[in-house]
Amino acid sequence: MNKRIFAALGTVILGAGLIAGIGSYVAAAKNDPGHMEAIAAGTYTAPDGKSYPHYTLNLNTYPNALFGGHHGHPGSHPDWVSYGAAGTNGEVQPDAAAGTNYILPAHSAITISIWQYDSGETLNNDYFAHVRGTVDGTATFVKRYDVAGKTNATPEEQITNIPADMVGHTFTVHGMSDGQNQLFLSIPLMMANDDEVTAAEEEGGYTNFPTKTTFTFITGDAGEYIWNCEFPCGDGTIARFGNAMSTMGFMSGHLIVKG
Amino acid sequence: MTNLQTPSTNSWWKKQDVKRLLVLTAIFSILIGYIGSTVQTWAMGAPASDSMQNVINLITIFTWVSSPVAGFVAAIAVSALLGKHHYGDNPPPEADHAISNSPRANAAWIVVSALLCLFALVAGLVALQEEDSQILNSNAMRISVTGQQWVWNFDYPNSKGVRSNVLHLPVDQPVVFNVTSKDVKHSFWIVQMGIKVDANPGVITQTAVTPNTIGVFDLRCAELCGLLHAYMQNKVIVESRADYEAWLASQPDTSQTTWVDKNPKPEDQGGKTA
Repeated sequence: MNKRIFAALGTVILGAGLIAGIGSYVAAAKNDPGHMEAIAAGTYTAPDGKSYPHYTLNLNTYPNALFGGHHGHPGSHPDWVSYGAAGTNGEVQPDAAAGTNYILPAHSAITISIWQYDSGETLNNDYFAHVRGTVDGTATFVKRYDVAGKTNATPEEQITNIPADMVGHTFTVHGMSDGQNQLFLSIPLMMANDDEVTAAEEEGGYTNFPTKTTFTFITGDAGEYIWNCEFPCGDGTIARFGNAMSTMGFMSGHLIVKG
Repeated sequence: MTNLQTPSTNSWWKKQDVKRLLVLTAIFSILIGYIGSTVQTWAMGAPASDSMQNVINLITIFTWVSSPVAGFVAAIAVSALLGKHHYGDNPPPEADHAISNSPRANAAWIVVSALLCLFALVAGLVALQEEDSQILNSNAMRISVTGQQWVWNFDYPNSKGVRSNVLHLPVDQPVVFNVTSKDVKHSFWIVQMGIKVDANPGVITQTAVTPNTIGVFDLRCAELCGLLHAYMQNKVIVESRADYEAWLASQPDTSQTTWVDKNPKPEDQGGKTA
């Protein structure tokens, strides 16, 4: 009898171990281990007069990874759109260790600047054409940023929305239903000039005139969130939410708020 | 025809192993009934609507009614694991109480199973009818729900164009949800209110509820929809009518885009549609 019980228990344990092993492998394969930390930048005073420790983060979005857009290297999918680390003026940042997991301090003001090098089309949901969740519900927008000259080629303006048919990508942080602080953000990133994007690619690089969007938000308690792009910029198999849209490290990642 | 009709000197139900099986069945039935009903209702939280209370009642009844079947199966499995085994081509001599060929046993199993299914069908249809009557309520507030990988958003039609990602509802107000999807199939599920309906692209499906408790509840996608499906969730805030109106009034109109291009030339972006 003991032998039978041990055999039954052994079978259950082996089965559970096998399932756990497969699950762990799949989870590890899907996760992007790279991360970037926000950089301290003094103190930020919000419109309501409150002061917060201020941190910044610079990001780029690229039409593909061919010319270093995927953290400085083409990666295993050179034709996929990708978020990547940016220099202080939107330069391609060859930081292979950087992924799309962003580490931010709790109870701080975070200013993110995103240089958007991709062309664009129409959102399938114009809800994401509006700036949501930032300080004052606005973002600062430059339609044409001169990366080589390190300056705005068109004037900077405050925006609350952009046309739904001129969106390159979005940066959208999910609200969650669990006990942690609500942190919902959605910022539309306007497309760069379509012709210039194509011409630059034919010449072996990215356009020198991306759009630039800068926004600030306030973090709450420590917690872990998910962000992704809400512009359908993957392949067409699942409403264009395939490949780069469904793989961590390209158009999605974690937002980790640390106490 | 069977051993039941030609019992041995001892009736089969008086056999030691049969008695043990019956005792185990009773024990497992009570355990399964109790744990199954309490864990399920505990996992979904306290009910925040009459619909959820109905769901809990149905779960409790179904679980208790079906627990003897599950208890019987579990008892047989445990008995088979722990009991004596007979090796050989022929049944052991003490197997004269086998009921595998008993028409009465087979008929009882089929009739009880059919009655359970019929009960579940009738109870489910009654519950669906109650929900349908709520959808037809002309006093209901109608909120549009849009699912998209991997976020929900809500439109409040009687407002000045308010849209939100957290769902706000006034307490004791009947609400009808018009649900759709922008990409793949999702499922709109407010856990503590006991409502769930598929969100299909190009189609509007409906569900209805009257929240009866002020508080914060859970909204989840209940249809596996891709990489971040597990994070397609958010809060549902049920508040007093006054708080709801105040929240609605504080929200900007984001139903339209209003951006005006101040730098259209020479670098017109030349947008194209998908």
